[in-house]
Amino acid sequence: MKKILFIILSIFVVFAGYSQTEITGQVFDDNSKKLSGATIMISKDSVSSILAYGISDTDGKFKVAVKSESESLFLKVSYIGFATFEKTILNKAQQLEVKLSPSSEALKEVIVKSEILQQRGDTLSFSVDAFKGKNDRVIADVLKKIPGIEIRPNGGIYYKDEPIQKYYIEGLDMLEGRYNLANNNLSANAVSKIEILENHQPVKVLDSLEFSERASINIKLKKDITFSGTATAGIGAAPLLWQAKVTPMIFTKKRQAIVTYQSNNTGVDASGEVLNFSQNFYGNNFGIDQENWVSIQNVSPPPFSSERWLDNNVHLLSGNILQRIKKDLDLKLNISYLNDYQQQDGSTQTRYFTPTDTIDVIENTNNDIFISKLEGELTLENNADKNYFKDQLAFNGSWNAKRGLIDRPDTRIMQQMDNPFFGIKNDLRLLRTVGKQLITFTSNTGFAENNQDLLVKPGQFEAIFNDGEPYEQLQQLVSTRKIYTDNSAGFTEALGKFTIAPKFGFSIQNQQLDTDIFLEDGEEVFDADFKNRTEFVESSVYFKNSFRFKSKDETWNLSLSTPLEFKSFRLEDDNFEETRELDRLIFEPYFSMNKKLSAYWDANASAALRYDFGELQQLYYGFLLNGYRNLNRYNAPISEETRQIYNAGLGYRNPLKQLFLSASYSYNYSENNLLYSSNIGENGTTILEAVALDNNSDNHSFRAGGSKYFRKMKTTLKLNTSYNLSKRQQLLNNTLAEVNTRSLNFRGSLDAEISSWLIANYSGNYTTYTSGFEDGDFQTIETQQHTLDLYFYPKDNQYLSAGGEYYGNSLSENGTNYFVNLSYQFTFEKPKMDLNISWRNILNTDTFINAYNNEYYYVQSSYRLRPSQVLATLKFTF
Amino acid sequence: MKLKLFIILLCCFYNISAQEKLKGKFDYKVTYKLDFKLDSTSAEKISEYMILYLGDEISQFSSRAYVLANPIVTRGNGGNISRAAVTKFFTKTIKDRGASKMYNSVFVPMTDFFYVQELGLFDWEIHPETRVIKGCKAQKATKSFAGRDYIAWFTTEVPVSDGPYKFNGLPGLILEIADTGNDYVFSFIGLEKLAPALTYKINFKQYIESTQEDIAERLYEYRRDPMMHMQALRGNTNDKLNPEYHKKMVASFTKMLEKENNPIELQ
Repeated sequence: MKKILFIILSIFVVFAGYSQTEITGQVFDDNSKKLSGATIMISKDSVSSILAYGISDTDGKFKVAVKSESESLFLKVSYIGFATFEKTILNKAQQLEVKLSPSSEALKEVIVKSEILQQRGDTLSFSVDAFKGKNDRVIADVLKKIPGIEIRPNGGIYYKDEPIQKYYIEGLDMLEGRYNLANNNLSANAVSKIEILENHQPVKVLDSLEFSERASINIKLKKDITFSGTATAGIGAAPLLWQAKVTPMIFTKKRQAIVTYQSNNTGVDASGEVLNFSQNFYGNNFGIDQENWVSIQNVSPPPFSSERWLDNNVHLLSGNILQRIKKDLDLKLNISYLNDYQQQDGSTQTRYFTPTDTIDVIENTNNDIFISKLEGELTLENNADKNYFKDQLAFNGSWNAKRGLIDRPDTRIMQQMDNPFFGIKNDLRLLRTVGKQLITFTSNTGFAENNQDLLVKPGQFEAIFNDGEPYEQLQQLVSTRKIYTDNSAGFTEALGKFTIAPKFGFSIQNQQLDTDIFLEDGEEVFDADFKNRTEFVESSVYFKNSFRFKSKDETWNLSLSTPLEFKSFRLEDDNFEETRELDRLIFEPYFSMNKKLSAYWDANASAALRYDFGELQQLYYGFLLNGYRNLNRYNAPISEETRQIYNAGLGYRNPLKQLFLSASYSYNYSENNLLYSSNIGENGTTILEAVALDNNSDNHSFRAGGSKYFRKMKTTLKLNTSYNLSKRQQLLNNTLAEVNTRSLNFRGSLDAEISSWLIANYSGNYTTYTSGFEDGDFQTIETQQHTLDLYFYPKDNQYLSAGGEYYGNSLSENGTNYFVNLSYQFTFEKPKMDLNISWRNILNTDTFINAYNNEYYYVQSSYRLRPSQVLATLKFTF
Repeated sequence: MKLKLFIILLCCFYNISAQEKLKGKFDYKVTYKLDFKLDSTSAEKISEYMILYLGDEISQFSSRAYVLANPIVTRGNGGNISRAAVTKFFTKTIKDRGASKMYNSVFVPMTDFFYVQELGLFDWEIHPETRVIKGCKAQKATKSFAGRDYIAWFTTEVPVSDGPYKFNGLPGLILEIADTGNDYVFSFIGLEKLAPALTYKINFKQYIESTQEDIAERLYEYRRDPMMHMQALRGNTNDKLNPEYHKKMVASFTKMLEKENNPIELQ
């Protein structure tokens, strides 16, 4: 009914209205090419508003219906880049041909005020109050909810899958990458805003020169002077457990400080909060990290949280202070001291396979470890608009001692080890404009000293040291000193898709290694085969011209780098006449490509060539007692390894079906001038030597995986598999053997949101590892691991988790391990507090049994765990 | 031998290149400011800058956030870099005058989705009223679209039949357009010539075509639970979410999305 009425009405309107004129036509350019998208306007005259209009189609044709009583009409045809065509026509149906002539006249511009719109990068600001839930305590709780932010298990913050660059508080970078300390302890109530600085370039002078892909975070506080922090106290049994932590902090406009003191005997790794996430952009080849030349025999720790196995007694004190001296100039001091006493108990059964024999070694291990470590860093940074200067002086000292007792069926061996270490380094980075070019200068210099002492009672390797007769003790002394400097100047220039980054510099590192072996009553072994007086000099005057090509369109992503370097090595030993030298010009090209085949498929491939040269750890002539039953020496030329690496993969992503699949294959081939020879004695003593013999090894690995999200069940299913095949040559008890290993792994997981108050996670892992010589396999070990976790949320402020785990292996007789853990959390509104009660290892499993194999041996180990324990902790923010 | 195989494999990738691309040059950049109300229960409005790039055949309209985060020249569907800046206006509209089609694309991290519409959605009613906007003489036109009645002001001084969002079909650029409730107001900020012109290429073969409703659902799903989404994509079984935080997060995102109840298209 309504429809009919409408039709009648519209007919009436048409007849009652003005007579309608239809004007049609076609628009061409000066070359008689049809123009589509030209606007055709008809008005009464040249000044009045538009009556009717049309737009030309792909054939340049248009049709305009005009309702007007006027006798003549004004026609206007326009198109960007052409002069507007204007003509007065009669008000009657007609067909027109319009030819437009080009015009250089551009459109009238209305310039956008630059200060509104042109800012560098994007600052996204999030009001903390909008994101803060009532159970959120510290800033990390809020940060986790911000779109794009992800906090990984170790505390590293990622923004859109890339690690963040800087963590600022009120624009100041006090913590230099140790941001866990602020993130986990600054009260969310003290913070007004979290700012994400996208594409943030922390070095001001590079701001317009070097584009940054990464983001930084800035924490804006509510008050000018903020005092905040957290405190945690926990107590449990049995035996008596304690856990305490207090982290006060103060922030003013010019000075910031965070101090933390922690202590526990609950197996918590206290050093996690002072972990440094900052990225080293110096490209430094040398460092002052502690090197271990000798060690005591230990049992490999279980693969789960240290809270269930680490028997510790730790104290950690850390202080961080920043002082703004003047605009853009900051002085920072970060210092931390850690003291820990750990006990390890366990046993291992090792079986060695040689081409002729199998050797079994049974060891019960009992270790006491004393750790005392002091680390500090003093930084002066001037980040001005025109230049950049950063000098960082770091020192590292430790006084660790270990005592180990080994019970073997026929003997009992004492090991005692001291390894005091000291290192200091200075890293300088300077950016200056020279002419029109910005030059980067870096200078890194360091010194480190290591004195290690391993005492073994009774003496081992009797055949070597005491004509096969038992003797009382064997002592290895190692002293190393190193000094290095690396200085360079370089710049980066982008030319379209090409980037060149020449860098000129020189580096030199001098390492001195002195080792001596003593027997009972301080009797020195004078044989030069058991002494080292080695001086190793690595020097290089380099001109690295890395050349990069990057093409990135919708489907292609190519990159190629071609660095070139000249390296020189020189090794001398006072006890040996010969000098080992090596000079090499190294070319290490790397090529990678990624191609998107369609909306669902993509493919990638890469190829690389790499060179590796021997470090001092694989270069000494005389024997060194690395462990109570290991003697090593490398009485051979400097090792040179050439590696070729190829990789190719294929991926399928279907976001409509939430199905993701991928598969890849990689191949490694390496050539080495040295072959390692192991001589395994009856009681497991191993003598390792390097032999000059060209050899090669290769490795194939295949990976495939997929995940699928089931919308209706709110469940994610993931499956992964990998297969690895490798082959290398090895000298075992003077017989050349080709050792083959194969490993196959399956992993699966299921994450289900069963209801609003229950979430369940399952994950499983199955691995087989087989090793063998050419003529046959000698060992296959299957290991399995299954974990089921249930999370209950009965109320908003309560949370209960229950977890069960199974670990098993096919080798050990009692190789099955079961665990159950329970944890409950209650959040108080007032006063703001969290109470957590956890009951770990409910089944009171006393040891963790594990088995693993390597190329020519396997190990079955059992590690003594912490007993069933209950711990209650209370955490507050202030 | 293995090297040979590898090279053959490489060549295979090179040869697979079926192309279905839109190509063009953008000569002009128009900036609009959009003031919009996402939560109909609140008076609060959000403002964002929007960019319309104009070319001979093709134009592209999107939030400035997309243009800033990823310059239009290099932006494509790289597949592995998610550079979507944060905006509350997710649709990017590419109008192809030649084919008389409109491609509306929505980027849900890692994937570009799109749906196609006819360009000629709008038969405007032209009114005689005129006013001057930033020195340009503009005339009034009206039209209902997706549940809202709009008033548009266009200028014949810019002879481009284009405008913000999907709006087009007038004999000149739309300088200002707002619905009668003033929930979505696009206002003209400026027009600049791009020198040199931006070359622009888009390959819809690399995008996933779907329906407008389905895409909106995918976007909602992602925004409600981005952690799960990204994790499923990585497909690594070792990668575990902390269920306590995950739950808190989903709850707070759901609450945030409940407040976004007033989309530009109601129907």
